[in-house]
Amino acid sequence: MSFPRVPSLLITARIFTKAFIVVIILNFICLVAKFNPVDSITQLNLWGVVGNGRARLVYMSDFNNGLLPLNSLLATHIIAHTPKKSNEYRVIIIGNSGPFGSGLDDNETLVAQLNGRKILVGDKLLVAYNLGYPSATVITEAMTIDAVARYEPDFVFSFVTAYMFNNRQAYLDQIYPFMRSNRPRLEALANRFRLAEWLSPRLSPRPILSNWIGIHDDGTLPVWFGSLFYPFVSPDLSRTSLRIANKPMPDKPNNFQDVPGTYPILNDAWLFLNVAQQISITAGARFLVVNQPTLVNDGPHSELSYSALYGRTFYDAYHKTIAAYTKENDIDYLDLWQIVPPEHYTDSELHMDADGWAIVADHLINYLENIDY
Amino acid sequence: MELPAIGWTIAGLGMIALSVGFWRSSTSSKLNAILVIICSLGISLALSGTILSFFLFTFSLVLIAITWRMIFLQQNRRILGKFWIACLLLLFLMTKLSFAEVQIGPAIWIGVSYLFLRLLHISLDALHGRIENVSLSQMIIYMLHPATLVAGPIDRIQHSISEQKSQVREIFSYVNEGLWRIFFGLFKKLVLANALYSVTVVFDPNQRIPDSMGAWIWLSAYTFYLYFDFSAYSDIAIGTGLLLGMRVPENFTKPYLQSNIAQFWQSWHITLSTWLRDYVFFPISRTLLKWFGSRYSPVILFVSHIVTMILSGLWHGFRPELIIWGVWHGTGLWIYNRWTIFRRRYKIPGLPIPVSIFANFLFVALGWGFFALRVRVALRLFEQLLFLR
Repeated sequence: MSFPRVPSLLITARIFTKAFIVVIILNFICLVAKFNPVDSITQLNLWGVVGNGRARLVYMSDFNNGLLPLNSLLATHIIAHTPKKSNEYRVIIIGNSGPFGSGLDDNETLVAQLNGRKILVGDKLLVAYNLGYPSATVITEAMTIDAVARYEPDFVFSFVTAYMFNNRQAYLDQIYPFMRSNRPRLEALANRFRLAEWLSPRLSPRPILSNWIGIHDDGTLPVWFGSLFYPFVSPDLSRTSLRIANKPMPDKPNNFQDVPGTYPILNDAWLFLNVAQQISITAGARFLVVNQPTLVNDGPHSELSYSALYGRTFYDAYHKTIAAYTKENDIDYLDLWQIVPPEHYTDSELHMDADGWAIVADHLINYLENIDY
Repeated sequence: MELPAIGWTIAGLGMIALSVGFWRSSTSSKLNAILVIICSLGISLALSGTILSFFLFTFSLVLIAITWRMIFLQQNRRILGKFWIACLLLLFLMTKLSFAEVQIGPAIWIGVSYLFLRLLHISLDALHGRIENVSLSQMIIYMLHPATLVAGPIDRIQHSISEQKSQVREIFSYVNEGLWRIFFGLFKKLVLANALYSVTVVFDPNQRIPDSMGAWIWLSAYTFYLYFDFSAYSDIAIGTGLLLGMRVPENFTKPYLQSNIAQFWQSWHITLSTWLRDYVFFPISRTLLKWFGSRYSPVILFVSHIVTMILSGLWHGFRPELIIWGVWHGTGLWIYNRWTIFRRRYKIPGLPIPVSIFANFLFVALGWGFFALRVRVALRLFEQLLFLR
């Protein structure tokens, strides 16, 4: 556009000087008050206006939402818009894209199936909330539990599988945007649970100058602005006709031996199970680690692999480790790894159809009915 | 120290020296040219992050020197000039082909697309005797000025030389306007364009075809994102030019508020449009008119428009979608031309201005569908836009 006439240099200097002074003062106030207005802005959303909140966390396949902090993601979720009722037994389902419900509608996911059965726990009605998030790890799960703790959960089901304990840098790089946009939370957890040594090589320190910046957005404002349009987008969950069980297994098992940081199986990432448990207990919730169902296929090469994702050697080692680790650390554990028949798996070794998750729901309900409260 | 950091340091120091050099009227053109080289080399290293860009930058200097020499050599031997133009075209084509793009495309050879358009402009104007004596220093300053190195605008050497020679400059006024222009550009880029980009990501048809409402939101957001993003670079270039004592031509003048497609192309990326008009459209149409006569002028105009706009598309990248985009706009320009003649002949009143502006905006916005997406995705998007799915 043709440029409008600009004020004189003197007026320009006055305008910019005054603006600069105002910014400095506001910055100082926010620094002292430890209040970043961007955090509050990015929690504004239309979901509470157009409905009761989303049944699942917002997720786009390009990881763009890893740029929004958890508080902003949760602000769109139904749990943030649903005050806990006195007769509600609040259950949190947390995990990767499997429990999240990739390829399923909202009314087909594990959470929907649990809610649909109107289970009573004592005299309270079980209400489950889906806090699954694709490409989750035990680290992101602990952070999510920390964020959701303020919504008064009674029970946390934490679905895990072998790859989620991967401690190698290249793997964690995938969740780096998530870690970076939740830096204060992650740093607080690391300090609280003495994991600073684990964190420091994995999360680059903030520039020194940032200690003097009270108002900062870390790239979240444009993402938040885009997220205001999410109500107009149906879930990014394309139903797939692919059936992974029909795919032939590779002749070379995926035992992750060539992947640095995967072995030994037991590594520092496992400490985040303890972190998740402690956070849940502090929030007044029970905590259960669930070994997520995974495809156990038969056919050629099944003597070497359970599936294209997991070679037998690797998975068996993980399987033994998680059973021993949870026992030693007094963490409640439920092993559901091979309860779902192959025909219920869809496009990956961890994604199932509605009937597959119905089987999982049966087992969770059975577990709930048999524990002491 | 990493290469980008070295590059920015060189560029930054070079800019400071250059601004002093330009504002001191006693500074020689040669010194300014050297400072331009240092500054632009720094920018190239910083943006590409690879030492290969140093060699490509050096090659740019060689091309500039040869082109400058050709201005004088071809005065008596025009065939040399034509040969050199053919060489430039071939080299330009090579930088656009996908197998070369990684090594010598715009990500590595910073400003290559603008470089070749300027070289071709000089070569063609020299061939037609439209260039007076120009020194190598003046040519280097025109070709490699840091303000317009990366993203244009594509100035003309005649205008650049007149700016270089101009002594009447009010420093404070230029600096003031330059700072406002840069601020305006940064606001458009960092606030408006970034926000709109986030919206386009939400409805990105490349990931998943949105529903009809999502398709319209995507198209609107992308249309304005493109404008704010592109015009922001022009604002920053113009502002930087002003800080360095040089007025660079405008590149955008309210393009989405134009009431017809011809005016749109006089308002959008003005310097590229006028380059294509002067060096592609006019030569083709005049040549064809000379060969076939004015009896075939409608067909000739159609061919000229289509060829010009296809080349405009291909300048942005070698993809079939950009050819379709070029055909879209070429056809639109031709239809507008014929409709204008028809309307005048039969005294048909035009549409109300707001309706014309909206219709024109819609036409341009739909064209961006082909600009941004693969053909199949674009067609499916259009189905959603027309509520057909």
